[in-house]
Amino acid sequence: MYDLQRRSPTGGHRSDVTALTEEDDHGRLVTAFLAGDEQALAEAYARWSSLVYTIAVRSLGDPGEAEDVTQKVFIAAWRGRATFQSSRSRLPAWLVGITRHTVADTHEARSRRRRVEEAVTFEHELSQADDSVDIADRVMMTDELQRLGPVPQRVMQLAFYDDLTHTQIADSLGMPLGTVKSHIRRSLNRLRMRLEANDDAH
Amino acid sequence: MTHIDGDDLALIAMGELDRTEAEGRHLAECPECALELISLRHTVAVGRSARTVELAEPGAQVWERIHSELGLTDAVAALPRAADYAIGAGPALAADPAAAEPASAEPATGPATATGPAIATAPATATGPATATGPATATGPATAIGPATATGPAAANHHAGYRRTRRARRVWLPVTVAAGVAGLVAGLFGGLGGGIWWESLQQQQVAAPVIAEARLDPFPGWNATGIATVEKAADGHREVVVDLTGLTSTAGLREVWLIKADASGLISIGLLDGDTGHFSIPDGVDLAQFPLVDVSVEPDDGNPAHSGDSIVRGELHTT
Repeated sequence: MYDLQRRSPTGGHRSDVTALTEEDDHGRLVTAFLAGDEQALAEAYARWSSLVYTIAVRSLGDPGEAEDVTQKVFIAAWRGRATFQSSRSRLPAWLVGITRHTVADTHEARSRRRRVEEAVTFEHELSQADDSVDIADRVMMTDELQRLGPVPQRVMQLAFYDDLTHTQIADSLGMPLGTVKSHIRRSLNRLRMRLEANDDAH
Repeated sequence: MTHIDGDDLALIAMGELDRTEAEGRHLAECPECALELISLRHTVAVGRSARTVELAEPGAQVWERIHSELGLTDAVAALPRAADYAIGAGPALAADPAAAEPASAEPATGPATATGPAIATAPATATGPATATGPATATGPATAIGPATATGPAAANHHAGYRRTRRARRVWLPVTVAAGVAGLVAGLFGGLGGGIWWESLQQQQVAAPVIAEARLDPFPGWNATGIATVEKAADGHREVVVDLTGLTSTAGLREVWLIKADASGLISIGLLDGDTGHFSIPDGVDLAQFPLVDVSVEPDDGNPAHSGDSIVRGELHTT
């Protein structure tokens, strides 16, 4: 068993300097949010309501229930903002954590209803297969991909979904090979950081 | 000791490069690079599986209800729109090399919707609510991964001259592929979809004292899938039962691991002989800390470290 420091072999991956401006911006929003500034709540909603809603609708399959979840998540986040530990996670990861719990509660309420209604356990076995974690990771990833700059975003789209090699990407975008490679590495590390922050936050 | 170049490691994780012999040796003796690779591969698998995900917006009345329930002021009565808070969303895709470097230094491009056409996250074949209740991975259409083993000569020719480039196959088979496999199996049962297949597996497990389970999805180059279940006996002792299907190659030793979610640590719990095995979980190991079940192929070299070459992996969920 290893107990390794979080360190990347080539150094520096984890604290990508490109994220600095974004982090400043996030810090400003968190400070205002914790101080009870309504505008910060509105901004958080503008930025992450689609993230919360998409996780909920994909997990529950019901737009109405997903909207209820979205409402509950932002109300719970606002009322419970004193419990947010900005040193431990980022605001979106925290919201995703609340979303997971709320979705799980909704699944549970649903299966309770069904048990009563049908007195058969068949359906509730199905609803136990709560894949909200996987869904949350995937939705989070989509959200992160869209937050990359346009060029790295295009590179990752070609690499992930069009299955192009870095040489093909360099050809099609007219970029030097080294630039494409470094976009892939930096974007991958950034996505990983977000994914791990997401995993840590629940 | 020189670590593997970060750019190369990323390309290896993408499944684009085969590792060289020297890199393979290095991975075998360097747990840092091996874990880095594990973690990057996990990211790639999740990233690729996000293909069918399209972000959706809740209806405008959701904000109205929040606004009313929290008694917010009129100043924030209007629906907050992502576009109003974007801090530098690039509208267009400049395929211009000059734009390449600064682009990655841009701040977050706020909203999902504002970047709209920049990245079309997939043709959203199955993002509809109807399929969302099934297992997460069942959303990918089987056809999307159809030619998993297609080795197009055209593709191969395209890279002639790049030493380790291996693109001939399209076998990264990440999470979505499991959907394809599930779909195929389900097809045998009458085309009812992966959900039913998955459910029928669960039905069989009802009697067992299962406290958690994971579906194991294949890594690039592997076609195997599987299920890991954690059983807890009356005396509190826990066992992982690993059951693989579709494992074709028998080369090397197969080792079963529990890994932290961020791949910052791992525990070997034994060698897998054949397709199925029971593995004792040491008391005191918190599965919440080690939620990933991983099966790797290991060279028979006496090195106890993870080779970095995983066959399948999955995350445990409590049942």
